[in-house]
Amino acid sequence: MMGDAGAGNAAGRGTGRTATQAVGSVRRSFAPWTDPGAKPLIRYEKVTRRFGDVRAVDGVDLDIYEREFFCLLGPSGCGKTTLMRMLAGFETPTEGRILLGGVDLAGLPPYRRPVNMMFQSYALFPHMSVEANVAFGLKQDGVARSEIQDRVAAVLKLVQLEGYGRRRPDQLSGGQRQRVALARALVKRPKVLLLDEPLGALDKKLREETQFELMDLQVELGMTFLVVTHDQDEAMTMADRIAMMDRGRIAQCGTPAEIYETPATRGVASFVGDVTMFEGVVEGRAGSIVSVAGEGAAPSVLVDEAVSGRAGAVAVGARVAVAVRPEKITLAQDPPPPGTPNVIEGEVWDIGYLGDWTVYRIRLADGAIVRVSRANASRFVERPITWEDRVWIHFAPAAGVLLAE
Amino acid sequence: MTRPGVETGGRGSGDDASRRGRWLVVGPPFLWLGLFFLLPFLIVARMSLSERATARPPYRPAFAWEDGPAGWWDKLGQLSLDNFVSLLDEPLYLDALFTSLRIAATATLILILIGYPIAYAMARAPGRLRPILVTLAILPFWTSFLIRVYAWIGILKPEGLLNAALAAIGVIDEPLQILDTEIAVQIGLVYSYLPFMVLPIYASLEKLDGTLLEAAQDLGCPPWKAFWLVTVPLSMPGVLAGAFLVFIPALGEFVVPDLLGGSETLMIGRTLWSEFFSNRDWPLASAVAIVLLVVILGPMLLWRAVPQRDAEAGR
Repeated sequence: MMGDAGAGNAAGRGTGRTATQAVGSVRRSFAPWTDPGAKPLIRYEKVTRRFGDVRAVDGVDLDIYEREFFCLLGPSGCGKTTLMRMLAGFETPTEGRILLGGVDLAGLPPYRRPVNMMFQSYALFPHMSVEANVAFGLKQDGVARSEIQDRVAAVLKLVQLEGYGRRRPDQLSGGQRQRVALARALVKRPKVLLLDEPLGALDKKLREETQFELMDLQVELGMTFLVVTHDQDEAMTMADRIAMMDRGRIAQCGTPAEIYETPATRGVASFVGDVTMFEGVVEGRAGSIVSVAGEGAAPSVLVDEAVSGRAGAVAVGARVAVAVRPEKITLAQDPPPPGTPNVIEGEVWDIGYLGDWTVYRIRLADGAIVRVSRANASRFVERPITWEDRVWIHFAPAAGVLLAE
Repeated sequence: MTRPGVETGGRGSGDDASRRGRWLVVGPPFLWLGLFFLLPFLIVARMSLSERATARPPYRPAFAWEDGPAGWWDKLGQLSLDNFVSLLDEPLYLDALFTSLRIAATATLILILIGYPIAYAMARAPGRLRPILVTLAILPFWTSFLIRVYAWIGILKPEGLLNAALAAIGVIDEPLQILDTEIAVQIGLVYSYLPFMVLPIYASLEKLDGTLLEAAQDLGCPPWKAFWLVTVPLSMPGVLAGAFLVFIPALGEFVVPDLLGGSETLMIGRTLWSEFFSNRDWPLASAVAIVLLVVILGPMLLWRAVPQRDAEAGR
């Protein structure tokens, strides 16, 4: 589940009706990817990377724009790190090419590329002080000594590590080491900053704080950030856009709200956030409303295919799934009035109290489990829902997303 | 390498049971060291302060058990450092010491130059090859050290394998005199001690985090420069360990100079041997042994200081 991130782009808790417009309102009016005339800073063109028989990255096309905070999200082994390492120059594409500012990077060794990387392990030089670590990159470029001093001091101030310059990496805490690694990558003012699981080694509280610090930093510096992460909360909170990767391919690329509200595949739907899938066969359509018939005791549901902007993508008779997020399902203790769409009767199977939210697992007649979540907005409840209660769940057709098999 | 200060810090007062337990663990090694290191050392030290005599053993002990504590106190005032003084009087001993230092230092330097690339290649080899390479590096130990050094006589002597090979390809017209020279001693030392240099360097290179080199490259540093700025400094503990493992035994080496060095190469280990067994001057030989020990103790203390400094930096 997403915690309450507090940022403007936290996926909407509104009703399904307004989903097409209001949900996940964009943090700022920055969307160069919608402008056909905009030139991407980074362009992956049909990039494939094979290791032996394995296609770690498989025909990826991707444009990333200047000043964008871009996240590569996916489970481990999905090829996201390989995709990033090809930009840094540590891996070479087997096929395709990578352009940075319109220039093909092929043949350019890592030490000549105008990008810098913050490594997952931080890779701080243990035999050098914090200052020497940060100054390392500038020294390689032959920057004047006095300028090095100024820039190192400035960047250490930026990451709030003034006064730590003389320490060795092993005298720092995990969070401080993370900042040194960030400072070392920032100080060269790269065209793109690559961050490989930048917050992976931090504990939860620190991770959340640091997410917002990274976002502020990125806006302040006007730099392009490319982040690799397996943590969906992290990606949702920080990114302007997310590319969700699955087995070497990009399954979906879009804003956090697009990814969450209208996932393109079952993989994306289940990796990002919680979801219940109603499986069935397309029975017919009335306007944009598609009816999906469940097999056997499985419920039949109505879904509005206009929500995803992929209307008409599935034919009658096709096997599909309707994905519904837990917060978009209403839980009722009495049968809803007749005419309410998508009403399904069930039994409370499990209750998980999370403080801000309570998650109910409702067991349907066919044995399927549906997740429903409710905000614990008020302290007292007249008729608390408890285990083994008979309940009715219902959701608007626009709450679901139609996914082809 | 251990970092004593770090591991024992912060648990000063244990209860009695844990203290007793600690002594059970620490006790046996201490006992061992006391019996087989400290006691023999005291015997040698006593011998070095004694007078030579035609007797069996061939010296008159400076202290004897029958004197009792009062007698020992008496004798303490009459101690003679004659043996040590005569080491200074006779240039032979100082010569032997300086020659030994020079030869051991040169051998150490050559070993670093040869051993580092070998260790580097081993550490860079594919993972499944590495255990095989380590085994190969220690394979010579399966044969007696003495026999291996002996074999070098056959290679280096005027009508030996090396000269025959060089003559066959026409590089030389008459055999080179290598055996019974300092060069032969160097060859013998380098050959014998190579594994002791390679293994510690390999150990430090093998655990070197490869992403550090990637980070260096990412920051604009070409690979050859990253080697000097990252790999070399981080493998220094291994080089240092190897240097001491090699330098200290090489300094007192007896077999190699005796078999390969001939009569002209005078090393302190041989001098010591001949004082003991040819001249039967046990007190003087003991004095030589004590001096050698002190000379070695210097660098040993230096070596100890290095990991401690590291540990302090880590606090």
